[in-house]
Amino acid sequence: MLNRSLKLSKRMYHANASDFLKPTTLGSLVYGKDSMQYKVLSHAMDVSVPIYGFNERAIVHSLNVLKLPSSMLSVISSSNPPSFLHSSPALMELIKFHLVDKRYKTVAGIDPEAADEELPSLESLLLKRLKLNAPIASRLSQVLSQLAIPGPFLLNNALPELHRLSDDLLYFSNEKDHTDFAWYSKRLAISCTYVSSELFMSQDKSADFSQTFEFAQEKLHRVMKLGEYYNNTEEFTWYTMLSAVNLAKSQLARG
Amino acid sequence: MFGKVSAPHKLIRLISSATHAVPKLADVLIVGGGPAGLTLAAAIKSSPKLNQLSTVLVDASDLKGKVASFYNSPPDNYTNRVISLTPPSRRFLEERAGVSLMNDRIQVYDGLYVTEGCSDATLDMEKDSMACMIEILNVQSSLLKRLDQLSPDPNTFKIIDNTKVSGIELNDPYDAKSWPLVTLDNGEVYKTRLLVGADGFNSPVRKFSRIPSRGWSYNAFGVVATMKLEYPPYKIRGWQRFLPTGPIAHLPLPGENATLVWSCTERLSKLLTSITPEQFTALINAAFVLEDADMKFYYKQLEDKTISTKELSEDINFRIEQVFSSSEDENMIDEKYPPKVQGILPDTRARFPLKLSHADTYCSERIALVGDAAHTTHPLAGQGLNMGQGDVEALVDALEIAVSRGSDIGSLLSLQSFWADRYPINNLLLGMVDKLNKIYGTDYAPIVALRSFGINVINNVPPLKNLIRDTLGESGR
Amino acid sequence: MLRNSFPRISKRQFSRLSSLRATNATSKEPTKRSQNENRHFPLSEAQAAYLDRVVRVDQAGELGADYIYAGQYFVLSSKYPHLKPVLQHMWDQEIHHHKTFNSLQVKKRVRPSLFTPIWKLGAFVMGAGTAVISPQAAMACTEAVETVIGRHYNQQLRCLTNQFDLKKANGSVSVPPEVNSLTETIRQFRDEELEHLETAIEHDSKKAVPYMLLTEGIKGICKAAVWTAERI
Repeated sequence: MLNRSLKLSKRMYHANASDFLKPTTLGSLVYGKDSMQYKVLSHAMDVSVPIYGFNERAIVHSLNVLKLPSSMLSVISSSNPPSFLHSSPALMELIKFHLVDKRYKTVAGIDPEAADEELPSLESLLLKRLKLNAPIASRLSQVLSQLAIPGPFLLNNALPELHRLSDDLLYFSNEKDHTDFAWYSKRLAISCTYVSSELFMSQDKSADFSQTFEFAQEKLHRVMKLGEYYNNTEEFTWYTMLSAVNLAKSQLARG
Repeated sequence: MFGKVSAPHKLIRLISSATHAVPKLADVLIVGGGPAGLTLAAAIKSSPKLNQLSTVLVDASDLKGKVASFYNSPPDNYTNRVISLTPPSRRFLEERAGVSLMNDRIQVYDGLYVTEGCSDATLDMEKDSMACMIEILNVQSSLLKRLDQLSPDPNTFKIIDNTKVSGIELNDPYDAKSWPLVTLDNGEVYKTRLLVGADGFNSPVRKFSRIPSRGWSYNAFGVVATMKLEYPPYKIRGWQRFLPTGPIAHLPLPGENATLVWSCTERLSKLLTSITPEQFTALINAAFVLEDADMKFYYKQLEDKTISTKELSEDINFRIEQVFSSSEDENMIDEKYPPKVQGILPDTRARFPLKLSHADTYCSERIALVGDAAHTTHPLAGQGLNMGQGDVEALVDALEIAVSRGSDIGSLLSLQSFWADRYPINNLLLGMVDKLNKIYGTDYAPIVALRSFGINVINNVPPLKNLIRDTLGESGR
Repeated sequence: MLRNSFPRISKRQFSRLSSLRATNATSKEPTKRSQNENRHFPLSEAQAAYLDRVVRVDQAGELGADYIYAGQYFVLSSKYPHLKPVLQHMWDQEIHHHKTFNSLQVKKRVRPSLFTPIWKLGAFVMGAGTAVISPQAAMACTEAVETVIGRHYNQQLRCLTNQFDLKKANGSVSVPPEVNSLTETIRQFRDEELEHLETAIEHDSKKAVPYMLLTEGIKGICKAAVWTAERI
């Protein structure tokens, strides 16, 4: 279990895309965009989930519409072990798909090598990701409750996926990235912002989720401030320490 | 953090034609003709012990032309670079550098009235002739006049203006005690016993000497302007109000003139320098009277361009009247608020970034740093120039001792007492100003409550208040 | 050893129906074919994890070196002007190394070591502390640190040159360019670190008292730090 939780940190090295063949799979999913699974699950997300919510019936509905045999259900669920805590492996795959696919859609078409002025701001990317939730907003609480169940799914899929989301939002935005402890605090801050905004969104009744976006903006602003405080404190501590030594040296020099 | 201090030095070390020209000799070469550099030159030339030292001052601006002419034909209006000069700094300038400043352009003031935007806490520091407000050009041109009147032997004193330093290197790169060779962009090369860096924040001399400097940018800007008042002030003193975006200060100049230093966030500074002068004037008046929430509302409206100048000034006047009429005692209005601003002089609005920096040491072999080259501070306490004057005074003292002992004025041994004298006090002032700025930089309720309490305590305990007042007034001397 | 884990997704082979596996992108886009021909198959999980580690530990190491020199310079520069240019030269190189790995870490999206604040403080104290004992002790510290770093870089170079022959789509086998450039960077840095080692010995590191205690102690600390920075 502990070993597995380290998955969070694994496979973060991103090789130069132009030197390698494109991976045939999408993120942590075991299939790519051309696969049958992708076709079914994206149909389910677009059409069935708004009607039936996050459950197996939504997937079955999509299979029926696409005229596929219902045995596809077991194919879709194949990469998830059955669990007592969660409803069904196929549903877990649908949720995983929802997380991964929306993450890719958020940053699709952005060239991270571009100049800072051409990159979107962190805030706009965060809002873009939240907007992708809009069609299924009323079903969000179902996803969130499934994701929050403690267990292997949380450790192996939900948390790493959340981390990858914050990492992507940072990487593809014009926000400055860090090389020290702030690397962690910033990602943590963004993850917290995202999760609380999603929670807010699941209850939001305002038109076009304007309150959610306001909430997210405000929250992001606040947590980034906190990060700034940390950096300032570290800077200040060094300054104070070294000027104390300089002070002592200056008086010894009088000698 | 360490990355910052070690900017590439290679540029400075590159020498083009340096090695070909025959170097001229100097005892002291001062880089930078700001107040600190010129004061040092005047003080050296006025000191009986030091006036034989051959001194050269290099500056990039038109010192002998534009700056010097300010003394004899000053403009009618006041310029926007105005600073607060404390009595010890003024005494040093007048007595040891022998300067006679243009007294009709100086305004002595009798205290500071400090308020804040988040609560009613007030600090009223009164002291006759606490300090004076003076234009930087006044200081510079008076110093140039003094140097001109001294009419020193051209072999022992020379101002080279309109000229930049293009390179500095050691005469013998393997001997740290050898004399520095300074190449100027007019082709001249000087070999100097002592090289003084009075060349500001990005000091090339400091970079050459590889003295690390530490600190940070405040991510804030100071916006300055020269203001015309509707009526002369009832009490001649400075008003300062700490807003959550940064402190704003209204400081008196002679007659119906005053100067503004408004420290604020980068975003706000851009807004303040882009709106019309009328809108800016209205905001200045509002900033000293109205609540922070009102100010935020106006900034937003101005940013979105959803308010006309007329609406803005009418709204601000209305709200100010509201505040004034709810005041119990009519007389308190003149006591609590600065006189109303009628307008700002054209082309006097400018902004500059604020930062804190402090060099590890002010001297190394054959190098001394004074003024902004050694330290920069937030302008909220008006200490920047005075700290520089203090440096110059201590450096002159150290040089006098060295000359009277017959030791080498460029040796580290001669210079160290200057550093030892100045580091503690500069460190204290930088720290005080920085902490004040931090404490006031927040609108977080518990901190607001604590600081209001603290300010009220200070305001009601005279010894404490006087201590602060005197530290500011004396620049710690 | 790394090559053995090549097929990228090795888990749960059994349950996956091969007919439903994602089709290869190359077959669908004939126009891109020639371009794709020249591309490598992706790095294996183990190879990527190894590169991840290399960038992280080297970044932490160079950060440490940067701060060690900062500490030494802070103490020694005013007292021993003749050492100033020597220290400055070495420090400048370390700053360059540190910056290089910082940008690699950001570009390759590698997680930095969690303990950066501790590395900073520890390295600065180590540099300043040995410098306070004597300039020779500072040089002994440099000697010990550079010995460990040099050896560590050598190990990395061995692995990078042995374990990264990757197959291309057209069947040929070669090392991907970015691994080559990383190898080059490390090789250059290793040479510079060994230069520092020589400089330290030239400046009497062997005369430090107590030499054995200092160098062995510091070597131990550095090895422990390397072990930790690779992992956490």
